[in-house]
Amino acid sequence: MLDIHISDTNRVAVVEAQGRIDSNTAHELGSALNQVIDDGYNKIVLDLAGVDYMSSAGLRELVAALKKVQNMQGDIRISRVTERVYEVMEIPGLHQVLRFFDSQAEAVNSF
Amino acid sequence: MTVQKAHIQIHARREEIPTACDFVLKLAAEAGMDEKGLYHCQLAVDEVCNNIIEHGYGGERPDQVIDVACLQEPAAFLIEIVDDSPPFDLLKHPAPDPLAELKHRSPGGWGVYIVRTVMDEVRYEYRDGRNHLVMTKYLPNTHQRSAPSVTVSATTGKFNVVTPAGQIDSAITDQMARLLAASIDAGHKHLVLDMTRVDYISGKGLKMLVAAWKRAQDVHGDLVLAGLQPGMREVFSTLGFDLIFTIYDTLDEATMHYKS
Repeated sequence: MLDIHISDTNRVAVVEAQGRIDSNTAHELGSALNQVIDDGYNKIVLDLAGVDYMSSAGLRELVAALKKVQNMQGDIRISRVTERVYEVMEIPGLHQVLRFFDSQAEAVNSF
Repeated sequence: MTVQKAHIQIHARREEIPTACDFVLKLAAEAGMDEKGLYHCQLAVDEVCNNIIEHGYGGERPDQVIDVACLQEPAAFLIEIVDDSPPFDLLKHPAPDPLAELKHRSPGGWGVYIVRTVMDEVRYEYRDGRNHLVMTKYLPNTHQRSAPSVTVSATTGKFNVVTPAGQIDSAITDQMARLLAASIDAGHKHLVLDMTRVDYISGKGLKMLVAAWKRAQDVHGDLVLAGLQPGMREVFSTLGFDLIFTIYDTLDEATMHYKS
């Protein structure tokens, strides 16, 4: 089960995910990110406080969306990632291409 | 090896993968795995099953199965995943570059790399017409109990005493294999393995012992064991290895055997 909530803070799209991101649900994350990109956002905060599990299927959607927004001079920034999910991002080296913040507000204000 | 294993079978459908993950999580928790290790086990099962469905079976196949079995060793938890897709060794899959810049990255392809990173040992075998992938995760607090080492006593002329300490795992197995082979080839073909200070042996370690035993037998020598700890003795008898090796309760009894 994956729940996704999208909101706007000062023209930054905040995508809050809650639940498990695996091969059964990753497409929902991909759809949500693509939707905000199609709506014209190039600044996105992905809040992962409620995500206790992510596999490479989630990374695939995240990297695909990240490539898209960086081509639009934008970025996806991560807030409140759990230790376990951070490790899954760290193994493929994504901690070097993503920026992480302790709160949504800090991530939003970083743009 | 015929060992009691817990086993679950799922169909090659993505929605059934969490069932296999939950099954493994429950057994790994019972084995004493810590929270981080549990995550790693779940991730490994998830990634491997997805790989089998995507690349092995070429998509979801409700008519095909994936077998997942778990086995607990004293210091490790083993997960075996078996499928019927064409022979495919995912360990030969080229590793992507974790240092690559974003523009040089393709979004996917990280599953196998993650599995190899989070698990302590991963090995592949095509056997009986099926792909077998065995992944090992060391249990916390048991692995680093004592640093492995192996020493050989001064030769008495009739036999050598080999004294490993700690855990006979991949860290020490190759060194020990060379030492035993060198001893046998040098003519010291009667060996006593003093197991008093060994609290764990891996599958690879057991194979190495059998190979050394055979090497000694081939030149009319022998490799006997002495002083097995109760837990180790159970491992040997469960696996039927007590039928191969002569096992003495103490080192003294073993040396008496050679002296008489």
